[in-house]
Amino acid sequence: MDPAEIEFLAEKQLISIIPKFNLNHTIHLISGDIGPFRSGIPVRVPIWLAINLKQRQKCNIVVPEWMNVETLEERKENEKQSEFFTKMPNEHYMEVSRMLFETAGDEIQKIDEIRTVLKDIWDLRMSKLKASINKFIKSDTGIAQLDHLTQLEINSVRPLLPDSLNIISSLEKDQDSDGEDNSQSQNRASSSFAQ
Amino acid sequence: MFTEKAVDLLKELDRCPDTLPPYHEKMVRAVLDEMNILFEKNVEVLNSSVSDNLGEFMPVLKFRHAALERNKRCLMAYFWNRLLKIRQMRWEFGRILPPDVKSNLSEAEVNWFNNYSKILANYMKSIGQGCGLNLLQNMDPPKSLYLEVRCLADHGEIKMENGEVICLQKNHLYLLPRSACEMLIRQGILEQVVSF
Amino acid sequence: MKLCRSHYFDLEDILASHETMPATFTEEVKGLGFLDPGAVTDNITPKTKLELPFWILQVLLQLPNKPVTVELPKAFNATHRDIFSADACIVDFNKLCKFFYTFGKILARAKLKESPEIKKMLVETFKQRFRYVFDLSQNVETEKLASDKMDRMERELYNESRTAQVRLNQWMSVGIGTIQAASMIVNHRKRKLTVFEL
Repeated sequence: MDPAEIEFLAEKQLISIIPKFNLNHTIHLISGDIGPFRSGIPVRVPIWLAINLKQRQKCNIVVPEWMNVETLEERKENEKQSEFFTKMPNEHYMEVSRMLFETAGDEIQKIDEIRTVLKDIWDLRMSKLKASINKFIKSDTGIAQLDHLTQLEINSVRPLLPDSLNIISSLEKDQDSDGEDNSQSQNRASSSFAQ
Repeated sequence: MFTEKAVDLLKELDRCPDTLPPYHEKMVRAVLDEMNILFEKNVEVLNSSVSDNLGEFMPVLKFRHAALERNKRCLMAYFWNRLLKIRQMRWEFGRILPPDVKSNLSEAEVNWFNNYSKILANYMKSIGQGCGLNLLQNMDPPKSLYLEVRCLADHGEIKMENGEVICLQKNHLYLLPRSACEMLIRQGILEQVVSF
Repeated sequence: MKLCRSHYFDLEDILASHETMPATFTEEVKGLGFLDPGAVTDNITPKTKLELPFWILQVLLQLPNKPVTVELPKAFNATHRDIFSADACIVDFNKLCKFFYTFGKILARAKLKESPEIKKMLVETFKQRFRYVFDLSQNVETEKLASDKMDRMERELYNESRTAQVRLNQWMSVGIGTIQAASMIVNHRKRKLTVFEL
């Protein structure tokens, strides 16, 4: 998957905006209803719409609660202390931040500091992920549990990890065929990872 | 040595993973000739020998048969791997191939390309609840309806969905609907301008 | 992903089974003299030593009397198996055996007496070198030449992974990329350019 596609998925998340216009009726979309809009009254809309309105100066974006230096510093400390991955405030934290930095930079306070902390968190998690993958490949176990990884993070090791597992399994097998039961389920597991 | 020519065909394909080398009519024919010779020689042995000394000829019979099969496999792999690339061309170059690319295709391959194009077009027409759906559009998630593009070659006129006609000239900048220019960007005629 | 499963049309599988191995004939084989450039008759005499492609040897090994004994190619012999288990990362597969894993897989499945050992060695070697491939592919600043010592399968893995990493880095720094010209078209143009320069 391309990072752009993951960002596209993240755009479906809802975010609060304060509209600068009035629209009295509801807009019915496949993904759900949005509106009505009252000037000055906060309303939840998908991020893609928030960005579009913001670009046309039709709204202000309410910065998500977690997007501030203190909260993120705390998360960073937790991440540093923990041997495992910690839960992130948002499952698309990198994508949402990037989009808001780009379009609503004027509304985020201490944007540069936030950017730095986020990068630190990302780097911490990436090096953890890298280390655990190296360990996983070297070991003979076929299972690894990694909680709290976000979609973008999982995607960062594609296609390398699923392909490598496929290679190892094909080297271990005596034949390339669909007949064997366990190899089949193994292939399915890794190919679903590859999607 | 038998099968060398067939393997050479594959080696060439293998050396150019990103382009399609010219179709080697002569080489393919030579491989087919070799296959015929292998087959005829085996038939000859089988017809002339009596069953009790057949064992003596077994190694050479088996070898020729294996060489025959291997030639066949190489040729099939040659055609198949070329077809994969030709299919990819439909998605990258579009419905019309540049003449110098087209000249690398055999006649059968050109036919295949046209048929594939037709099937794809029919399929795209049939989906999307009666109004059709262009699968070549929005290959990346769209971010905006309009794109700023620079023209890299004198392309001439294009017709917009709203009927408007625009003449694309080299080094000019245009603001075009995404749907109108996406394929042209992929074809390298336009280049998307990024503003930082 | 075409990486691991060999199939009938698989270029890599065909080219790998064309790799040669030293073989010694233990019995006379009638009619196959043309395989031996030094043969005086139509037959191959016992004790003849030839370097033959694997697919031919496979035919001979399947004959009821097995008229040949094969020696493992250099990359798979005992000495190299020891080198791999000491430090697999230093080995230059591009020089030693371009289709190391694919050919190795063929040998491991050929029911030779060393097959089980080869199979074990392939898995271990891949695991040992994984980190080397992984690290290089993440480090996108290094030149493409980094893949010099890799075998074909590793190189493909490396290239795919590197492309994904470049996309991710791009996204991180400038956001969603622009629409790109298709790879075939870029290559087509490059080639045209070089032809022009010549």
